[in-house]
Amino acid sequence: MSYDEDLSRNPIFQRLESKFPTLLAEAPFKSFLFCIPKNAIAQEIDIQDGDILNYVLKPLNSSPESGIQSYQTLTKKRVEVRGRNLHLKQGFPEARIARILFEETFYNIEDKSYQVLCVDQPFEGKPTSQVILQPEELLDPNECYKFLTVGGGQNIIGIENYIQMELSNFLHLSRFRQGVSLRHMLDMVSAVITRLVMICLKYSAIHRKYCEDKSYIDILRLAVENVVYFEIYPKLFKVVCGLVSKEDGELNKVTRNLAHIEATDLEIKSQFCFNFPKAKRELAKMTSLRTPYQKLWCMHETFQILSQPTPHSNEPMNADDILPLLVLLIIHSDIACWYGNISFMENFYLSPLDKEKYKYCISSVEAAVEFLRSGNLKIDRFRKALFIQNEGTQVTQKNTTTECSIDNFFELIYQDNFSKIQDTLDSLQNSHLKELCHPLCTCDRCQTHLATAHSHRNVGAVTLCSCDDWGRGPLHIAALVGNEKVMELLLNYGAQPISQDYHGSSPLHMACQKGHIKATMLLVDRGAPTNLQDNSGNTPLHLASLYGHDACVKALVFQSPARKLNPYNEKGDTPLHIAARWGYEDIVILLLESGASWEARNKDKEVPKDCAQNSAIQTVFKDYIFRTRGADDMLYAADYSKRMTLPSLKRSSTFSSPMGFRRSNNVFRTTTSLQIKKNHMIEREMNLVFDAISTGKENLVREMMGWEKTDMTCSIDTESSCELNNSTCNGVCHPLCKCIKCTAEQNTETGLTIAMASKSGQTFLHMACLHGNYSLSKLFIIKGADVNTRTYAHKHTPLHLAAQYNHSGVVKLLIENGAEIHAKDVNGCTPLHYSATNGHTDSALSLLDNGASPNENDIRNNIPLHNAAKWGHTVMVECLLEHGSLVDKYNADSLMPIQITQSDEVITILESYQNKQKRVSARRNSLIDSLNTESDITSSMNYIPVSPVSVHDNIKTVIPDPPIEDLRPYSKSIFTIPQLTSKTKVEAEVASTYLTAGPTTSLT
Amino acid sequence: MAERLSLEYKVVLLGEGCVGKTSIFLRYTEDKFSEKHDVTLQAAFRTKKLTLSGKRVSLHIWDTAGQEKFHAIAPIYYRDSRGAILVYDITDANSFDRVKIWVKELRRMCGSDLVLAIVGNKTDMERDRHVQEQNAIEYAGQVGAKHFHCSAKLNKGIEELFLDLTRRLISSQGESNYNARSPTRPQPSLDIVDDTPEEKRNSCC
Repeated sequence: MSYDEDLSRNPIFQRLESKFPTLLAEAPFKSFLFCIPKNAIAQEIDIQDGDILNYVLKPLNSSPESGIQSYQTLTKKRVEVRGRNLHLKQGFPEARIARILFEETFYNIEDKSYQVLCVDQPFEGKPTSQVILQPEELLDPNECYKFLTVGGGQNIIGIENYIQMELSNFLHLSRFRQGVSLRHMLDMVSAVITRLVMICLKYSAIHRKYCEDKSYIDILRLAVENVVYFEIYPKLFKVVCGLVSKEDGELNKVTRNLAHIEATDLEIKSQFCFNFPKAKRELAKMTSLRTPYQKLWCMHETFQILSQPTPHSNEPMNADDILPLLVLLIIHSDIACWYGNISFMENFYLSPLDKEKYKYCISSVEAAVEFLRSGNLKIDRFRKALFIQNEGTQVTQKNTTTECSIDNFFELIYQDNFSKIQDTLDSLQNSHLKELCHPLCTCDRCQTHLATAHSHRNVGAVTLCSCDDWGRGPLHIAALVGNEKVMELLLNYGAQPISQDYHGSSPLHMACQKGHIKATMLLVDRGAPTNLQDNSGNTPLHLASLYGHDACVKALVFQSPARKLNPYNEKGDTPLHIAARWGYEDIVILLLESGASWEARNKDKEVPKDCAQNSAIQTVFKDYIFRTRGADDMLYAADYSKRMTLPSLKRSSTFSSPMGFRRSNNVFRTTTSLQIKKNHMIEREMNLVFDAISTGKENLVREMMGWEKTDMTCSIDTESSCELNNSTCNGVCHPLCKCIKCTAEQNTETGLTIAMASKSGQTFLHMACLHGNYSLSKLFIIKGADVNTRTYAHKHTPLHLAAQYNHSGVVKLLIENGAEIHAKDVNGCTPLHYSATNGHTDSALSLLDNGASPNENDIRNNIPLHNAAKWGHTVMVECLLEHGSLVDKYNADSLMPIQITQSDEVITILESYQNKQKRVSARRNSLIDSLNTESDITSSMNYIPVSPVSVHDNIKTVIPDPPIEDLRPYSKSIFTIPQLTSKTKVEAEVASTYLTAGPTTSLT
Repeated sequence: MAERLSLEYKVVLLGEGCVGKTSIFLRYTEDKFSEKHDVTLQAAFRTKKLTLSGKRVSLHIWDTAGQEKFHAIAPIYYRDSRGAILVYDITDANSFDRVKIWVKELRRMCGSDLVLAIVGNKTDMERDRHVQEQNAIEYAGQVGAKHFHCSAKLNKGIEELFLDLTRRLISSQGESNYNARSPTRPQPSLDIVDDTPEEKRNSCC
């Protein structure tokens, strides 16, 4: 079909028109068929008028079944049509085969039509040597070179080298990279093709050929085009894909999630599926092909295979059938860049040959791809998998069993019939005990009851452990459906999130595969293992990455330390490989930022970057690697400058330090990119630990710290005995010890240690004390945490925090373990000051009972009583007074507690106490007086204000409030709502969100 | 030598599934000379060459998937097309309603230049007719389309349908506006290539 010419300019046809008008007029009625040799031949051969009748065919009775149609020329010679070839038979001087180039329908003035065929051989005389090269023969680039070398009929030596040289120059000069527009690339490519065609035409042999046959130029162009694309493809294609990477990512997400679709789901008639595997094999070649022509040809072949008649039916296939087949084919193909391929084929196939035909190919593929991406295709695979296979049996069973079978139960979960599920679960737990006289009763009635209950159980009642034919339990199904309410219920009833089905999938696998984010979070929260591998070695993270659920990836990544982000599956792929391969840019970024390794190699020795199909993803990797390396270079520069003693640059090294580790000063000089990465990781993991502490997840904390499961089983008390001995050598019995505990300790690749502190100097113990987590605090102390570490800016010890948030148990624990009870922070406040300020009597009492002095001064000479009085904590005031606090202590502003309070109650308490004291002292004084001379009672009374209320009115505005400033880093809310101390829990939450805001924002 | 370029038109066949689009398509383009196995997309795409009152015309005929669920992707098929054949089944009133939807959509997306033909297929089942002939013809007149009846089974009316469509395509295009290939996407380098050899030939021959 590629050959075309204007038959009205063909000399033979012109002769026919002028000499035999009657023949043409008769043609529509007599079904004449005119065979015209193509123009180039017709020019050469000399045909007599009589001979022209040889080229007019008349149909004979034919048998279309055999595919052969017989004709007779008007000179009674026999011609057979087989396929697209004319076989010249009896009557002709030699048996010859002429190919039909194209056929054309002519309409005469009366709108009657007759057919004209254009053939590539004359029927008589010398056969032509002109062979029209079919474009298909140029599929292989080597053939193209061969064509260019010898196609002109003369051996052109060196043309191949010349072209390759041109192309390498071209590649050298033109940069195909992310961000170059399609139009720009297209112009660059078409310019080089034009140039090369021009060069080829300079060779006289090729030019002569062109003069003989105009259609030669199309073939030449195609050959050059193929050669060019073959050379530049590696650079060009990924950039073309990069332009549509978003679309490809979306499409891949859809196709991955539809991976288990079948032909019946798309209403494809079964007889058309016969050719499907073959077509799939053909299509699989697509990725290795390099020129648009090859790719188009591959698509075209695939179409052809799909539409081949099958042994099961002779029904012709039409567009209605092809499109669904194509959709299915795209889902099952492992091609990750359909949009890239379409764009490449559509825009970069420049040759005009068969363009319309290929356009149809592309449009069909595009239609199928668009159809998929629009998300209109939703197949309820789950439901089918679950129920269709049972449908037959269910019908019969339904009548016989009223008991709740596993299928019915799954159906309930599927329908989200919450109350009924709960009933079922309730009945599970109690049914066989409820009706007994006593759980241990063995009377006849109870025995029979039990017996029947057990026999019923055999019939079909469900338990939380019962599973279907695939080994899936109720929790699996709920996770598959994504019904987190039911999941929570099941978990509360004791379902195990660790159970695996026959494929090795845990409920977490299913939730991640289906992208149910809430279900995922619930399972992770309930301790479902995130590193469990299914039969093909995939962890939930692999699945979430494969199916493109970035929310699930986020949930999984957030909860796991960086060392767990690089699990290998069967093929050695890490989640990062998978995400890169399918073009999920968001997930790639997420994984990289969370510390997944970009250097991990799979079994094909590919790093994740090699898996990337387009330049957009590659750019993400490049940027990331550059950033880590770039920081490294910067540091080297800084380090270098330091050695060169350039004081102005000295700061930059410390400035660029990613975090303010206390130890980093000496570590810093040897910093490598690895170190930076590690610091970054450590920071991230510390934040995770902080987060875990604030939510009280002890197991997670242990896991993160590398105190593995063996510890978990033994109680803290037993642990304490052995651990305390070890704490001296940092938790390891011996540097080379390989006991379980020690290997766990050594395995912490990231190296979180108990002594680590955040940027502000907070240790894990600080955090645990802040949240009043007794067991964690104890754990940390056992593991060797220093109870008297201080934060950098405010110099808070853990005891300050525990006192401030009223965790009396933790206060006691700290004091028992040697915390300084009178530790002063940057404002000179002791823990008791904080208790007093916040009115936390519990913590104050535990401090006081353990020997805290109530009369310690802060930097402004306030004693705790000042603070308690100022914020109007009556109970606290009483408590302090009881423990011997000085009622008439002056602070730096020469004010006594009574002068800075606003609460009448406190005033009365203080006054009555003062009076009592006065009385006591008066009595004592009088006693002394009676013994000594009258002295300075009056002088001591001078300072007592005449009217406390008026004084305090005056002073209100000048009260300095150092405690307020102190509290800022821990809670903003404290100085705004100091009265609401009963809501410490709320504050703690506020504080925790405030503290953990860092890692969350960096992740989102 | 200035070769006469042929006129090329893209024509889409639209209509609900099972109205016989494909039968019409196959009947018209029936290619006696193609091998059995060489069906090469023939099932859904064929090019027909015609010479009509001295003009060469290539009709690129695209068959499309008619199922309702694929409706949204139809623009991919009918973009750039010059003519559309909307097929309905005279025994099925729904299929005629679908045609009306198509007409609205095509007029909106492709403008008024698009040459439309509305075709009632299956005239061999005249006794089951559910679409009133008068209505259909009137409707076609309103939207500037031409109405045809045909029977793919009996091979009636198909030749006339395409002949008329081609005529109207040619007249809508106008003599002056010979548009060889793809009207929207210009051939980037075809012209340049054509020029170069022309000069060369003059110099050396």
